[in-house]
Amino acid sequence: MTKEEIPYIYSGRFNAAFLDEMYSDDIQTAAEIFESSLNHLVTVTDEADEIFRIGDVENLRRLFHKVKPLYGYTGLLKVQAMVQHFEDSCSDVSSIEELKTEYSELALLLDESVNIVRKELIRMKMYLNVRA
Amino acid sequence: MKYSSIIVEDLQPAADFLRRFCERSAIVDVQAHFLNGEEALVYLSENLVDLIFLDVEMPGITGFQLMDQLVYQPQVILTTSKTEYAFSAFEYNVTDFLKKPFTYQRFLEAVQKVEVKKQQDDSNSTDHIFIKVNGKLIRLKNEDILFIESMGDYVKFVTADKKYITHNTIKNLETKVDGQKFLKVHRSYIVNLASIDDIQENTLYIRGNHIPISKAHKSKVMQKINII
Repeated sequence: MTKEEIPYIYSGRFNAAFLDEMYSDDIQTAAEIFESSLNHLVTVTDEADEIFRIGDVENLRRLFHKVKPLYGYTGLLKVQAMVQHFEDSCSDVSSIEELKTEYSELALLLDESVNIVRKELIRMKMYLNVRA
Repeated sequence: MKYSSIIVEDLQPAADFLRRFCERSAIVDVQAHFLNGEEALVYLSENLVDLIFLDVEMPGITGFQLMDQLVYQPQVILTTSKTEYAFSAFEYNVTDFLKKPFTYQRFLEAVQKVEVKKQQDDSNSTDHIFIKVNGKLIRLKNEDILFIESMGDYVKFVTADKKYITHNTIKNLETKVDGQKFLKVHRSYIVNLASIDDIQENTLYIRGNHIPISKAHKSKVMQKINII
């Protein structure tokens, strides 16, 4: 097997089957989309914290609706499902206080997601460098 | 056939992702990307595209409100992460509905639907065309067009009471106009068959205009006109 033929293996936190289906073996494109997504993901919790502090449930729902696909593009389907759940919760509650516990748990998860996407992007770039 | 398209999407990575799929397919050409519906509408008022990839929830007008304001009907593929919009999408008769994130295979299925719909539209052929004149899209009824004349990189659409000059070529228009009603009779002319007043040897006459018929097109002209 030549170095060009060595397949990229995604880390265990990612849904590899889904990522393979989206990007095939085009790791260059996957890396670009990971990087583009990461640029947005790093700002999500700061933005959400500010909206939460103001107590604007509808804007919070909108923010999570908007960024939700980013967790899909990066193969974090479980995180995407939790963001979807939170988005639904935003539509169901009458005050921001009812979201407090779910939001705190989600915010921790999203911060962790940023780190694992960042690490995966470094791995991808290393892989691409080795192949180049 | 390559489809011209625009992407209307306020999330940059989603637009990047879609653009990549379009490039990979080699049959969808992305002419522009807009982060909101208002800017897209300005572009669409001056440019014809075959297809719009359209997000629903955006700052300003929604994707549905954008569709309400279109002056012509390109095909639309809605791209959203909310399945609740599927019913409205159906009501707007969009070509397909892609739930983000979607796979390349699913994207190709949507583009195939565009192809099928295009073929259906072509066979139903519309009774008008849109031309771009001085930055505006103008609707011309087929029956009002007498003939189209080449002017280098421009063409002149001649109607009974007006002439419209637009940036285009006879070669391109030959495939765009209704082939049942229009015929290329010379490399510089396409005529509306219903407007021909008379034909004398290699010239046809429409409202006093003399239009040459080239040797290469003569037999086709004679086949198309109703000679008793």
